Amino acid sequence: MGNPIESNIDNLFRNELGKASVQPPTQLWANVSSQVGTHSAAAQTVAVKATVSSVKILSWIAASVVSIVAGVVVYNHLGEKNIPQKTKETTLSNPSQNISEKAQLTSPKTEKAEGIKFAKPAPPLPDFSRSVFFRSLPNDNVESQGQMGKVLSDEYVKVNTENQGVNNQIKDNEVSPIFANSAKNNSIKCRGYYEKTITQPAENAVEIGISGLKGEYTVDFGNGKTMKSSGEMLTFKCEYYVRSAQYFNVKIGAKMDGLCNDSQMVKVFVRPNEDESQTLIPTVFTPNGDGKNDSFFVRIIRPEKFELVVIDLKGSIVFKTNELNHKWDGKYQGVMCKEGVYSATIRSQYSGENKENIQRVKVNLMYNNND
Amino acid sequence: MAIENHTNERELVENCVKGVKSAQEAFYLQFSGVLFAICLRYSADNEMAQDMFQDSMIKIFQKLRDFRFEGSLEGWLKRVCVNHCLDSLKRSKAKFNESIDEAHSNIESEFKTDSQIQMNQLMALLQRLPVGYRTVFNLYAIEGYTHNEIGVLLGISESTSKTQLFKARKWLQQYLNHG
Repeated sequence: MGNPIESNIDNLFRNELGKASVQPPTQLWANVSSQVGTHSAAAQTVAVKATVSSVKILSWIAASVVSIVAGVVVYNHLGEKNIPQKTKETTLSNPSQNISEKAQLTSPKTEKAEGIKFAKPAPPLPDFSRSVFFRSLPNDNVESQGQMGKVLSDEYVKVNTENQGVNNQIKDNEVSPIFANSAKNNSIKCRGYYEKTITQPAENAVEIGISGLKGEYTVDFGNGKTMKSSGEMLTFKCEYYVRSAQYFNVKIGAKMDGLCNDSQMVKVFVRPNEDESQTLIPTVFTPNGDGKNDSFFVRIIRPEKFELVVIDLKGSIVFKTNELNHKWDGKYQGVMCKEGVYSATIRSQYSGENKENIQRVKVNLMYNNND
Repeated sequence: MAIENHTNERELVENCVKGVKSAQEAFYLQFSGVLFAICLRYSADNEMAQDMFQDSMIKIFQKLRDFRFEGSLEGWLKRVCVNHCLDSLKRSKAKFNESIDEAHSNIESEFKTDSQIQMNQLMALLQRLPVGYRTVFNLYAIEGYTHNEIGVLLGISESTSKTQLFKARKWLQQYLNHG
């Protein structure tokens, strides 16, 4: 696998599309089911007929070959003495034709069986992390990213090794004055004109406090959320919905008109809230009012975006919600739905992931719980 | 109507073979997404994918009685589906060794990659590959076949398969980088 870029392409496509699931248009099931109902019976009878007829043909060929060969042998035996050789050749051509016919009938079958091999399992695929590829993509060009990022990456080590956990505080100690000679650029460093304070009020939340000269401050939390505000004392708060502990690059930008304009990066470490980590997606529920399993719900780690859609076999939506806590009571427009199989589609997107997770489960709606 | 709880894969398949409608529906609900995605990968557009999907689904229901429960059901279904896609490509007389110059020389550069590459975009990009590139790339990179096996499946030589893969990657790389 010489070139890493090439195998990265392979991996990118395999990761994104290898286990992809795309729901086909709903009308297709009607087509398929109509074909399946009639087809399976018809195909069976045809197959049986085919085998019967092929057996007949084969036995007929076999019989004829045997008889001709026997005839020829007897004939030859007699003919060796008194029949001229010409006729011998002509009679011999017949059985050979028959034999070749037989060979033709049987050979393609074996070829086919050998031609398409699936017995050998696909080789195990190496597990490349997707991020390797994504990192090589062009980043958004933050002017001070490189320089400032380095300085501040030390800070995040401080946060996460020394006082990991809730309510840790870091103060920006480096307050250095800027000099006029950097006024050529638009991006004069604002450090020294403001201080930032990073706190974590919860495992999955980050709060950034700004105090400094009056200006316009923006915070890009690295999960797609950007906040902008102007003033002297500001607080920016953001909650992250992650599946596992993760770092995020937070970009803090400051702009003070006529004075300076820059941005800097800070890494923050967030975790999912623990009490939500027990996942459960039931496949059966019994809305019969007995107090047990009366509604259908989904329990997953709280994502940033969530959608649950339940459809029936005709493809019409019977339940839809964007709230993780909402439960389906088995009713559609106030009427109880029929017993049967329903398809639930759960779409969830977590912070920092640019891909929506789509999960489909089948849900059995039953009224009688006979276990 | 008694609702079967089709949690058991074996039971589900056996009921499908028997012709139990609810089992067939559950089976369809469970596997249609994955199989339709495969058909999308092997086709040039949505319509073609739907045709492939419908036929392979019918084929699967017919062939289901042959499944011996040796190995995973989903793997088997995927193979049947891939096979059907290849068959229908062959029937449409697709050339698996065509060159990009003949097929898609003037593709506009619509496709741009931000740092967000979505599944849909990748799928669309894949569908725009010439059929030969697409098929070989699918088989090698996603399905995990060797060049030897691909050669046998498509009736092309091993070296053709290698060149097709190389060109496919190059093509994809180009469109991922520059758009």
